[in-house]
Amino acid sequence: MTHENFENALLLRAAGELPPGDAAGLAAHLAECRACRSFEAALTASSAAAKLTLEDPSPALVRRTRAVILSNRESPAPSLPWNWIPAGLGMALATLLLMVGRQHPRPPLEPAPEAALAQEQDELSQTEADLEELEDLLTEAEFDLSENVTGGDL
Amino acid sequence: MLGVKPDELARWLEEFKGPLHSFLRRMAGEAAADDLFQEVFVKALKAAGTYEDRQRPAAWLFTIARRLAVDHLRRERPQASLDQTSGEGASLAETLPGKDPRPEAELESSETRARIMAAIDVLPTDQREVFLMREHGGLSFKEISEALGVPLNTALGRMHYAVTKLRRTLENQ
Repeated sequence: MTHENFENALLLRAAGELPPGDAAGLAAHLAECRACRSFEAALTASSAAAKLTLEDPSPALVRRTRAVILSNRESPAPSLPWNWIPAGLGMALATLLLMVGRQHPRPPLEPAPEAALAQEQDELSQTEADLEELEDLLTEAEFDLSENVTGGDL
Repeated sequence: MLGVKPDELARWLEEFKGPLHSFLRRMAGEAAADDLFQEVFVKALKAAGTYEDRQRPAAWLFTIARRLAVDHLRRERPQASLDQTSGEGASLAETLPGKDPRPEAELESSETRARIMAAIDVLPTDQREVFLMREHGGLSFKEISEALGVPLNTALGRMHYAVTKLRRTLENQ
């Protein structure tokens, strides 16, 4: 090993990184090398000096930084039943309305008197009203669902 | 395992606040240290998903802090040299306070600290960062060489120069 290698070995030893096999050789070299002993002393002194310059940041800065860190905590996920209830209600209502529609099929079209035409008009208006109500319910269910999924943050 | 959670990062803040802030003060100067300190943890949060638990937290945080300090010095380069962030050419007497009303022992201790800080501040940046990462952060030379992207022998060489120069500067004061 060269002299420079021994000085590097001293640095590694101070950092706890010296391979165990190199320890005996370093100790033997130190015993006879004044320059390396001097470097070792400088290393110890500079390390002690560095410790004297350690200083904590102000408590206010630590508080601010901690607040920034903790503001990034994930909000707890909503529980599953609440998540699915609005969507389930929407689907159930849609299915119900479809079934009602099938149980009352429209009569075949025939040339009809005015009274029959008026009744047909009424039924048509009722169907349109039902469809609007269905749309409103679905919109409401979608809104409830997005509120639950995002936790209302958006 | 990948990732670090905010609660864990908050614990590291407590554990490493002194070494990290002292490192940033000596690397980037007193004025920038507070902002950079907070920025370290903001960056750490953004990069939280990439943290591997085989890494030591100190090595990870100091790597982030060192990058921020170097970026800061690059931005400040027109105003201040990268190699001399404070006190170059000034005598020790100029860097130390004048009359001070504090008790003598406290004054002596604060003068000693000021002398040491001035000696560290006049180290070239590449030597100063290795010295501080080792002595403040407790990083191994392997961790330092990885953080800097240099061979192990280069990190050792810079530390050697730093120690030698510090001794010389402190002896001459």
